[in-house]
Amino acid sequence: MSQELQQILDDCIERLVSGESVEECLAAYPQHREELLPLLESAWRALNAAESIAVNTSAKSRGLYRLNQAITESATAEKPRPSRINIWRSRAAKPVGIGLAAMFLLVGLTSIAAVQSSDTVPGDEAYWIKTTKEKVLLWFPKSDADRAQMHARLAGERGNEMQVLMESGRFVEAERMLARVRYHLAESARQAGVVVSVNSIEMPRAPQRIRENQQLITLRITIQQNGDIVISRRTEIVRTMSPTQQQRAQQIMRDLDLAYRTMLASMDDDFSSLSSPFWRTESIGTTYIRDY
Amino acid sequence: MITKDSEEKLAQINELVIQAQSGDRVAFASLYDHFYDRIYRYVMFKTSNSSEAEDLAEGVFLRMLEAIHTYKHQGVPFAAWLFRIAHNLVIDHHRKRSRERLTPLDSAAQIADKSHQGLDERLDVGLAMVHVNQAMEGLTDLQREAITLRFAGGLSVQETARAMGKKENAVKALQHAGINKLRRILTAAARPVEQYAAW
Repeated sequence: MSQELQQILDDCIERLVSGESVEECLAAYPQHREELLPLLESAWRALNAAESIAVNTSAKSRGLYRLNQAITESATAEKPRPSRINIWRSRAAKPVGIGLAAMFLLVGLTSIAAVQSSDTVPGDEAYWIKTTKEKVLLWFPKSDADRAQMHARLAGERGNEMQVLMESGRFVEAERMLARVRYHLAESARQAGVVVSVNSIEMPRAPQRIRENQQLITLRITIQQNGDIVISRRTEIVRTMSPTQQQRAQQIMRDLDLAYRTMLASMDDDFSSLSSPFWRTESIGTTYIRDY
Repeated sequence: MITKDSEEKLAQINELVIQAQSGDRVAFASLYDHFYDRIYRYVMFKTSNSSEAEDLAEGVFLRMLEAIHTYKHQGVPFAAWLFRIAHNLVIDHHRKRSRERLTPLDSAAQIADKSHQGLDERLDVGLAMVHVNQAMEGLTDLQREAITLRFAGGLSVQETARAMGKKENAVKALQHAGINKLRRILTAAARPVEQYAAW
């Protein structure tokens, strides 16, 4: 079989595929008609047989549905973790090792710094260490209950900082701290599945994310204690202030008090199996700083 | 009509592949829609069983989803890559079945397009498919693969060559030899009928 004939046959097959008839192909190569005719007839039969296979449209749709499902699953699935052996044998082992060593060193140093920075407030040089440490702790939550507790503690911490700022006359920064207290309380409520600042009659309550009642009680205790500590210092804080400052400090403290009371009342609603038929219009706060 | 992709279409497919690699659901659906019929016919040609062919065709696209991030164009057309997946799945399927002999075809009537043809015509087309399928059994594996990819898969010679890991000239030679052998087998199969008809 010559290469020329193979090329001609291939060209004719392309013509058949594109819809030409056997006769039309043969007309293009009259000198090879005798050789080509039986081959093209066989090719045409094979092509015709393939084209005669009908596709089941419902099977096709079903396949597309499953592909879509698989896309959704693959989008949510975690990527497989490489085995331990592969990690250490890989070319990346050295830089990874150096990186880990540097991280441990950094963690060690920041732990020392974190202890020293625990009493800092915004504006202090070491304050960023404190907030970074908090952020890192929030990156590694264990459960919804732990997250809720963590945010409740951070709300208390921001409340303390707010008071220190007010004592030093830094009211603008104190108000920013109030916003952060609201943010942490709202996050704590969200993690605990507690619905705050809604009318419980009109809006169905979200299912509690913390299933254990004991965890919710512990969270309530934490929030109440933090709130009590902050509020109890109200008189002490305003004592040395000027009347204008007192007025501003009182307003901030009232807002803080309201945020804590709303949170606690909402938690009490969730303890109860019955919906309380009253309209709650107050809220922890509509504006809060999400990140800082 | 099984048609191969034009240059413009190939460029569109490459674009869809890039989008699918970034997780675009619509791009996946478009690729599925474009290739499903051809993949199904290719698999059907090799398994001769519509329900198995449907399962395998579905499997090809699920495998495509898993592996599409590894696909790099670099001279290998996407169709060739996809049909190689189909080929490997069919091989795995046959291994699982331990080379079990399949019923030639579900039934002649199942093959043809039920909506456009009468029963007689459907049976004729179905029987023609049975004959071709049986004749294909007489071809070498490579000849059968080349013809199945070309005729059922609608791949070009270049794409077939890439899918089979062969050179284009080798595919043309396989195609030529395969068709020639197919002709001899089909002619031999028709002869007793002709002799009987002459009586």
